[in-house]
Amino acid sequence: MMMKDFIPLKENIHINLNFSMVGKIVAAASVILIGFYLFGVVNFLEHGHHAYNTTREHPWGFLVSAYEFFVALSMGTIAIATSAIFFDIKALKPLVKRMLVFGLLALIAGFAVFLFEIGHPITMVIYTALSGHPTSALFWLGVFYPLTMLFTAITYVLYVKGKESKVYSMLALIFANSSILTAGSIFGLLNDNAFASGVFYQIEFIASGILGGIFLFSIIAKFFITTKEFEKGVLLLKGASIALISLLLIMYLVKFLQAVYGDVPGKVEIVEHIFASPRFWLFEILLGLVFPLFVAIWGSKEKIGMFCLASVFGLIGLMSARINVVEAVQIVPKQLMKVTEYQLPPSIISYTPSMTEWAIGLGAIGIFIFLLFIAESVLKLDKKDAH
Amino acid sequence: MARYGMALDYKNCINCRACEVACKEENGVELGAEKHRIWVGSNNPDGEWPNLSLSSAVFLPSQCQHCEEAPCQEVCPTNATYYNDDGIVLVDSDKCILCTYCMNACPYDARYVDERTMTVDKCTFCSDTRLARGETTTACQATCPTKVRTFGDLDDPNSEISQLLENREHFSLKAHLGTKPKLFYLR
Repeated sequence: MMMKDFIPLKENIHINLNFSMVGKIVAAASVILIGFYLFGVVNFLEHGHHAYNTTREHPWGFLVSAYEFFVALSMGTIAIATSAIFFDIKALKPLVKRMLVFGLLALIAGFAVFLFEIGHPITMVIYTALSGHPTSALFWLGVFYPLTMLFTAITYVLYVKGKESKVYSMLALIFANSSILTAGSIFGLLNDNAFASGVFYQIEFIASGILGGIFLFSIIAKFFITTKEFEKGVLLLKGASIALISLLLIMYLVKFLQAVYGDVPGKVEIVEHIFASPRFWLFEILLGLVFPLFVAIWGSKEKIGMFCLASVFGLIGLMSARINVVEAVQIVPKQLMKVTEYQLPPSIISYTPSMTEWAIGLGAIGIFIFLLFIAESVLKLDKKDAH
Repeated sequence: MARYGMALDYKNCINCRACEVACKEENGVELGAEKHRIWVGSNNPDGEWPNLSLSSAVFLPSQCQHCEEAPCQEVCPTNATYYNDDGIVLVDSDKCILCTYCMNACPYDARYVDERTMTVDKCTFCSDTRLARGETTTACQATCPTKVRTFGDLDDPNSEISQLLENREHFSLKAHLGTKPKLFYLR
């Protein structure tokens, strides 16, 4: 048995290092980011969780944000690809192989962050299996991720062999959606948290995850896979992005309006904090959503140049959104009467990521780009690669 | 089997913090302000000088509420957080993966990271120290000079805590969340 019997490897594997100018810039950025990641890992191995700026009151930091960014991106991308197979969306078929593989790679990049966020990853694997707790959203993530990976991989292998499996694509679609819903539920099921609890984050994660997949493939279509039919598929997704961004903007409006209406305690403080943040307005709303929406509606219907630029900002906006959600659910102290001696109780808990956290969280982007490059080099991803 | 709880006559609290020290000593809790299983909350008087409401300036001793429907237990992916036979919420450090989900889910901020084991720690009602030795009080209760705390079996109608709750008005923190805390504040 050869590896090729299981994994659809290219007949002639060739690592092409003759990059275009954009490719060179991306490759250089990737190398720098991987170096940054390794710096973070070494710091973590030396100092453990002391290398992070998380505290008792703010136990989740930037690594949770980065992890959530990658898993939402992953599950959204897989959801698009499997939908294309299951619902037989022909215009998206040229993208399917890459979307399935890149979705899996985004998940691996997320794991590269999660590995250093969680305190005891090996214990997690052992005891999730031996004494898993079904009322925990995190437990279900441990169930859904492997199933999503398994059925996505099977769907990809069969697709390369020319078989469009409705059953496996449906299973991958179901478990990808379950994963992303569960990831949103980690926040949405914090019943004590007036701002987070509810259905907002579950739906927001699905919409923004799929949107992230669209942004990612718009960038790839512009700079790396410049075939007509690939671009045609991305143009179809560009239309879908209008609906997704509109939905997200409406959800934001309603959520914030509901919080400030009547000055609801536990909500209004958070909204005031968010509104005072340039990161929210500039990155999450203006560049991350409004600009891509503007370009998607009024931009060229045949070309994706401007939408590609908007997609770069869109992905930055989505990362910013993840930072904001993790911060928003933790900034209001739970026990206002609990004070440290000689210190007034804080009205808002502050948190700034440490250099190690930035390094691991942002460095994972470099790992993701590197994995994409390897996948492009060794896996069958183009139409001509099909059997 | 018992169903342990604690009543707090919080208006007797003088903020001496002997309970915090006793807890650390008895249970080997790490030193440092961030590492505490129990604490004494304090409220600055409401209003503006000179119209200050002195009655609002109270001390509120607190700790893990040992909820009957504990959110920290519900979110724990590996069942590291569990109820023992006496209804006390405990952490099995061998199973704890330090995801810190419980710290975010706990409405009472009653959990912290023990840097020695790198697992989440919390009040145990002295179950592995004093109760394990056959004693019937917790360290914080035993040391309190103004008898703020009364620990006991809520299922025993003759216990001191049951009598107190029978005869005194009381409230629980964040009772609207449905967590059914077993810490009761006497009015």
